[in-house]
Amino acid sequence: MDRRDFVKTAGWGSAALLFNSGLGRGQANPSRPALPPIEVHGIRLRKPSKLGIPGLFPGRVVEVFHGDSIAGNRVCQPIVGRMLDEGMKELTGENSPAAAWQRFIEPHDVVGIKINSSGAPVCYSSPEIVREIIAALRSIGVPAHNIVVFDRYSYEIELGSYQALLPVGPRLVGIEYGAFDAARYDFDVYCDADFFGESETRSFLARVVSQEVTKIINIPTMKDHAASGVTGCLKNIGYGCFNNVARTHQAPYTYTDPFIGYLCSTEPLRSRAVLHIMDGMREVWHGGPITSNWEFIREAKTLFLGTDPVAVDTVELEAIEKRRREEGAISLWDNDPSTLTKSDAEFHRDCHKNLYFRQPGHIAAAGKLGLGVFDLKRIDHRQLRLA
Amino acid sequence: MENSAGADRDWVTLLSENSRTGGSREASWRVPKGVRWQFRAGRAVRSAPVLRDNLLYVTEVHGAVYALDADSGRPQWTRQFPNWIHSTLSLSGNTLLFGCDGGKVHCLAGDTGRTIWETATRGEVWGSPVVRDATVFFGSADGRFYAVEHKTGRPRWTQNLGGRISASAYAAEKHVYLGCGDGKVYALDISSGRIQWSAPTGDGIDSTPAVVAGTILVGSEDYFFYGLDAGTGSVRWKFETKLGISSSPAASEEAVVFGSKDQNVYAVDIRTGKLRWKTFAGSAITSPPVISGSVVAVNAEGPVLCLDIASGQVLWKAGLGGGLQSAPVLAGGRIYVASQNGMVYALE
Repeated sequence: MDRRDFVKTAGWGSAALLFNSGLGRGQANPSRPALPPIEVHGIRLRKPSKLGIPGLFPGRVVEVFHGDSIAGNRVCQPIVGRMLDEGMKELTGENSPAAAWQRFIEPHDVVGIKINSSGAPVCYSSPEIVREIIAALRSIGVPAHNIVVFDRYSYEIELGSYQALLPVGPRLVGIEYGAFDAARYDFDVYCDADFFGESETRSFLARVVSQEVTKIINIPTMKDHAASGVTGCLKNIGYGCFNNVARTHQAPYTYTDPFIGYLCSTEPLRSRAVLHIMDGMREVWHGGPITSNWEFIREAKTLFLGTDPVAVDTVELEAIEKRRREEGAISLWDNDPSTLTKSDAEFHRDCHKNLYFRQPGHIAAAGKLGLGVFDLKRIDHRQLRLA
Repeated sequence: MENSAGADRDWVTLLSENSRTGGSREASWRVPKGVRWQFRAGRAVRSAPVLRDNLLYVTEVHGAVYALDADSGRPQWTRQFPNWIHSTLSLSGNTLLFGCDGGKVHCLAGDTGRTIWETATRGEVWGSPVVRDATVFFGSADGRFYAVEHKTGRPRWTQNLGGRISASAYAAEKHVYLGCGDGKVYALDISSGRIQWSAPTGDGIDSTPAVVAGTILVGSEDYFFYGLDAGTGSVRWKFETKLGISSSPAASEEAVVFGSKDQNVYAVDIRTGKLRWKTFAGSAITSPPVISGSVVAVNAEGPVLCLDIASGQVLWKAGLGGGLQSAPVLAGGRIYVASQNGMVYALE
């Protein structure tokens, strides 16, 4: 890879304009301002990895359930380890967990584990799962110092106490701490779009992604999201590896559809994100991504595994939408202006309220960018129920 | 104790002094009437300020160390280090000690900021170095606990433990007590580092212990707060909250006060482990409370809260930007608070 040889994907913006109008099952956002051009400035790879999104198993999602994996909000690490083993074997068709991991990771890789700590301390990537993934990587010969656990905000990592809960050896990296803290971003890799007249129109990729790691294992959590409908694999690496993304929301409008997909399509992020393991121990079905209202959180006791983030997120979206139906909440696709509130507090206590016209269509939009399968009928959804 | 506060105006380490009482020597903290000064210390402050000889020392996450005149807030000196700083400063004599994410522990002259020595570990040093009997004690994310000479930084001993060490230790006369990421509380011989005993909890420990009347008081990420026998490590009592506890406790003679990530501040009887009161703070609490006379103050993720120590009733609160570990300093009739957004305030 030549660091100076980045590609400016001119014309994508106009493609996005056309493409946005036909996406999703819901109505277009009422009077959302027109989608601006989006320019993707990625790094040109001599040979994009075949492990990159949508990876080795497009359209395949393995859902693993174990009834004892979490109780009283405490995750049982030995059971999670077994769920991970069985899920990896099912995903790859290999006979052993080690062989399964070796489909994605080689001993000389520098492996980034992208956690989701934004819901800490209530709903965030369980340290128990992260520890089991680190143990699996170590078992196939990845040195501890070649493992980097990272997320965007250092203070959210700290709220999850990863600094104490990770094993000795792997590095723990918070990309930024306070406002305007861009020092750990790569100014050569960015997506540029002026959504609402903001002063900085670029979102830069973290250097840990562009310059340090060779593979990324993505550990999102199972949550609804006030702007994007749900937050899963796509949003965790898109909005979790680039900075200056909150600018895409200006209530009640948001451009998460299609911006999340564009971010995920940017190289080298796309080639390095080889595996997605969604932490579904807890399911936030309303109030996400950051809530402490236990009324909207249930213990789902599930892991979702795949190489195709669009397929995994599609399954997640269906599961959360189903839960909301069962709980009597409004649909994630609801675009009724009467449901809107300007009050965070009201949104967090009322599952009939929205802060934004939500955009679960961002998943299908990413699929149309070639990032995976979003048609449920074409998704190979395998369910394992462990004793 | 070498590092104990020499005067009422001094506040030399996390929770005031090495006994980690939380500054209980002062008269009750009254409602401040206004801001005497404010200072922008860069973009973010995570750790607590310390105070000695009218200089307030503050670290900024991105590597800056400031010595501020406590009356005016004007910087007397500033140093910029290459690595992030999560560690709370510790003062001993005229020296200033802290760790950084690059693995080093720095010892600076308090009056000028000049480097006296530095020593390296292989992991991040987030805890506050503790000084006792001319020895500096600190842990590292490399899983080792270190004792070095205060004067030179030369190693005295190192002990390998089973997990990351992110919190500070408590140095007593014969033992050093600390919690570890492997979920154990350790008692190490202060002169050799040999493990005297270890006591398991259900998950990693990110909280700094206090010791009162032979009882070690420490929280765990297993949601429990423990009272352990300091001689043996046996569990005298444990108290359950709803989420992990990384807030380090402040202790009065009878009660220990700590915050939980479940958004409550708890006061628990040190002798029995029974709840005295709990107060809902509205955001996760990871910073240590401080006690001042009849009140307890805690810097939550949102506001600084001041509670009545007998009842837990909220006396007043002030929105100053929050902080994950930034405990207030209560000294000389003033309150010094650093906030996550990088501001330092002197209230009086």
